[in-house]
Amino acid sequence: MARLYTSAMQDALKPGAQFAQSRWARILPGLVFVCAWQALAIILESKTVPPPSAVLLILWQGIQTGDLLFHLGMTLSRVAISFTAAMLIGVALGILMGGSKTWDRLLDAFLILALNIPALVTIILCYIWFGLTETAAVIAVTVNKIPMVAISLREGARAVDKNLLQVARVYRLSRRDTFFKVYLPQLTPYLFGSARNGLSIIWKIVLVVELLGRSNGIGFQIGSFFHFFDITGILAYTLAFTLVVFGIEALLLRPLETHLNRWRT
Amino acid sequence: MTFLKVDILRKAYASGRSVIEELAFTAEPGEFVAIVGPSGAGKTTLLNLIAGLDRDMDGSIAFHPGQGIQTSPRTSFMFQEPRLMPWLSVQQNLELVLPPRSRAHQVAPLQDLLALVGLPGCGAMFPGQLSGGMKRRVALLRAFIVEPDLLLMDEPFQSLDAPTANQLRLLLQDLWQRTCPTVLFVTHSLREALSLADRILFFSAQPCRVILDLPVDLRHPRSVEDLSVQKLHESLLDQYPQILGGLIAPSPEKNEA
Repeated sequence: MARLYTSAMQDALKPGAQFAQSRWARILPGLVFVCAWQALAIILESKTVPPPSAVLLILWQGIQTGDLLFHLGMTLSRVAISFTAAMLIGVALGILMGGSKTWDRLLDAFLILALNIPALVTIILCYIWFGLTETAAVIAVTVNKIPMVAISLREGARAVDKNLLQVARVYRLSRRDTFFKVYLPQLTPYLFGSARNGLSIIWKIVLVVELLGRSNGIGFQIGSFFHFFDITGILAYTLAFTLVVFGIEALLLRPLETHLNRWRT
Repeated sequence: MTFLKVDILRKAYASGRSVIEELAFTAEPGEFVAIVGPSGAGKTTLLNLIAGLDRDMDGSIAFHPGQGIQTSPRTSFMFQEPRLMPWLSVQQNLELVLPPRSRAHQVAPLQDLLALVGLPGCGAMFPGQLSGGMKRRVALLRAFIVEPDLLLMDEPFQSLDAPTANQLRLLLQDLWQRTCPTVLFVTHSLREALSLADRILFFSAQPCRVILDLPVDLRHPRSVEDLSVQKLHESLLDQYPQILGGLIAPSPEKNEA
């Protein structure tokens, strides 16, 4: 009986597996979602649920007038600067704490503390101490992200293969070669992990920062749409940024990851 | 003219247990010395001390003693596992250990060297694509490519099937005869030691000391299947039946050289 059951299961799975391999597996759920949304909007006829077609129209108009591109550019530049700074500092901290028990003990309490301070508190404190400036905005976002990168990289640094470092010592590799060719490649999965969730967290925080104390950027725009109850505008701007994130994932992160992992067979 | 003089009074683990006590021996330049002893005797610990990977001990390890040469020798280490960087290709793994200056004009010879160790055209492959025997060949070539004065080997052909291990032992003898580094070869196989070494040091169980220093007067290259090696193996075990367990019974004839 059991044998019959498993073979029947495998037959049933075959078409499913084929579907999962095809391109449609990525596209179809999105199409279904958009169609359902459009249908719902038509049925409800409510101002608070605009149809996707209206959102796309606003998005297109925003691109044509250049408004959307300007605010998107401002937000993106803030994301880029805080992302780079948070990654560099977080990676350095993580390696330091993962490699040395002394540093780990000294900084551990601060790390837990920093990880649990609400983003809103850091943002408001930065604006009060440094004024409503660009620097304050970027610092607030960076400070929020650093502990998350450090936590993840600390795990990576703890798992580094000491045997390979012995090889580096015996053959007297330069510090540079030891770091870039023996040490860092072992941290690749952790780097990609924190880059991915870093990007998603950072742009959310950047929006709050812009809402509270900047006069441009997507966060600022969404704030003004909120005053006019303009939900179509809010969704159009969100969509614009989501598309950018998809682009970064597909054109930068995934090809880079494939290239760095080509040795895994 | 001695190349290496080891004189370790005591080496203990962090727990306080002695691994090595009063271990002393020397090696000549270009000599192939095998170290045979029961497992857990402290042979790997000794190699780590000589390589400078571990410096915590009482005693001294001197190179060129009394000859006024201060520079430490170029050392290679072949570990129990191949320990290649899995994310670097074979060629990149080899280039990694070369000093930056010699990398540029080494590229052409690297292809020839790969062919010499039986891996022609494998430079672009990653270690994950190679068999166990091929990985050892790369590790062996990496050990020789830096032109070492001292080559430390820690049971490098363990866990290989017999024919592959034989081929690698012949390759090792070939490379050693070309470049003549001093070799310290740790093994627990007496046959392997007899087929490779000029001299065999037998270690006691922990804490380890040298219990027998045996010269092997056979011509290179040899194989474990050679009749002379087999004969020597038998007569040695007749004379010292418990030598592989680290005991030299009934009465020690000659201790150390």
